[in-house]
Amino acid sequence: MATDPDEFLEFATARSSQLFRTAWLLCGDWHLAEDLVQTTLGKLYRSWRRVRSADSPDAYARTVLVRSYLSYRRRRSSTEQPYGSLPDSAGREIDPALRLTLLKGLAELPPKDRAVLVLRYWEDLSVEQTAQQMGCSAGAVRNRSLRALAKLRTVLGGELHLLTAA
Amino acid sequence: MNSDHLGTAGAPDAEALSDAMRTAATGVQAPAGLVQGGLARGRRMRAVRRMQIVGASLAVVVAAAGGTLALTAADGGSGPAATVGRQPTVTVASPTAPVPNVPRLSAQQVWEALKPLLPPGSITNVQLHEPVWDDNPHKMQSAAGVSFVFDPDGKGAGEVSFSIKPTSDLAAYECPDYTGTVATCSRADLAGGLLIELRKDREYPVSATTDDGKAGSEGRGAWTHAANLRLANGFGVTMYSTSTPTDKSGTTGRPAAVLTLEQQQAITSAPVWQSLAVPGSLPTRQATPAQGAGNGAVPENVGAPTATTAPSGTGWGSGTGTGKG
Repeated sequence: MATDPDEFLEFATARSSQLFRTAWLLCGDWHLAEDLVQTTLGKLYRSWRRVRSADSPDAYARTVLVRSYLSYRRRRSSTEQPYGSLPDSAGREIDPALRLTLLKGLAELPPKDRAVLVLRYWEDLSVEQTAQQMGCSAGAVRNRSLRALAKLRTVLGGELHLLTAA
Repeated sequence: MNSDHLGTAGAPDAEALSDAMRTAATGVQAPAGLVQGGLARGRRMRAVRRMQIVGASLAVVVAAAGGTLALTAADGGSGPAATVGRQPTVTVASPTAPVPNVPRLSAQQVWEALKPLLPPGSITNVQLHEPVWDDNPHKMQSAAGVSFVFDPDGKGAGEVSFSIKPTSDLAAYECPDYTGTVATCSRADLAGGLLIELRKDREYPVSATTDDGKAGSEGRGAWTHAANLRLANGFGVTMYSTSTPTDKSGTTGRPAAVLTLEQQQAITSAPVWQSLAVPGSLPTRQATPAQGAGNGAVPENVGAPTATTAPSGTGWGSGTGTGKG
């Protein structure tokens, strides 16, 4: 019979890459994303018996990640909005202009608005699923989505072509 | 990227944003040691929790011992004089305390209250969304709600969602500028201190051309009707209906959302929500349910409201409080 660490390690190994990418889109900072994912995995391990019996451990993990991010942003209410922090060797060749433009636009959004966009358009969740994961109503998700997309249009302005040429 | 993805003015609409996120993020590789680092943190967290449990247990033992000594002294025993009359008043919120079966607002309760308010029609795919409770007493972290697919006339179904939650986000009741667009928005104060915003929009929302000449967007996707109502006590009641049975379907579906704005106003402003949303009746939260997301499928016995689940004017009914999800 598999022990807690074995089961947890199997799950964490399979899911850590996706969690890290989500965390990176949420915060825009490679090191902070690493910290958020480790915090998330730590919380999952602490409550592993509850996690593994959940309907969807993946959804559970994503919820913990998003709420850890929002909690971090609440604590760090400074104007610090890092973006574009990624070691040169962190990934395969991707157009840096696209990456910077995307992160610049996302960095201008309030944390919850940013989380809504990442969950809906990166994780491809429905409005209801996004609302569940963020702990808010579907109406709030729709409102935030509306505001965030409009803000993104305003922020990116002349740099739109970099995004839309992806 | 296909130019069809672009909004009216070349705006990065949802699909373009989705594509850009995938392009940017798929090149990002997780750092080595991520999992082991998470495991180490988890072990530390477990150790801290064990320490808290031991500390809480010791505190209870000390409190119990203090009470025993006090009783002994009061009975003429030989206990230290300093303990006479001392009350064992230690109140430690032990992490292992059993979860009492406290009543609280449940999605089932919301659904039972909502059903009689709906116009006739076919209802399928009902999903209950149980609220998650914050560690603070009296605070719901997420809404109690329900979503379902509704077809009022056999001419095509649409998605409907309904939720109720304390809210402080007054920005949600501010109308966007829809000047010169197909979207509409109105906001009004109703009797009894109610504030309501009614909005007709598209799934991928409409935006107006700005004063400085930046072109707006005609929006795309399903038609949506939203009623956002704020009760005088700070609770928010939100109802959405759309013209398609699933979101992001890529089609418009029916020519309008399945419920009219007038119907949604009548439903959200019904007195039942004011009797359900009574902050003073919220129970003190005793334990944290799981945080995961999950939608509870409606049990098959969902039917007419019953005596045990129908909302009363004073409490939260008989929610299970398991906080799944």
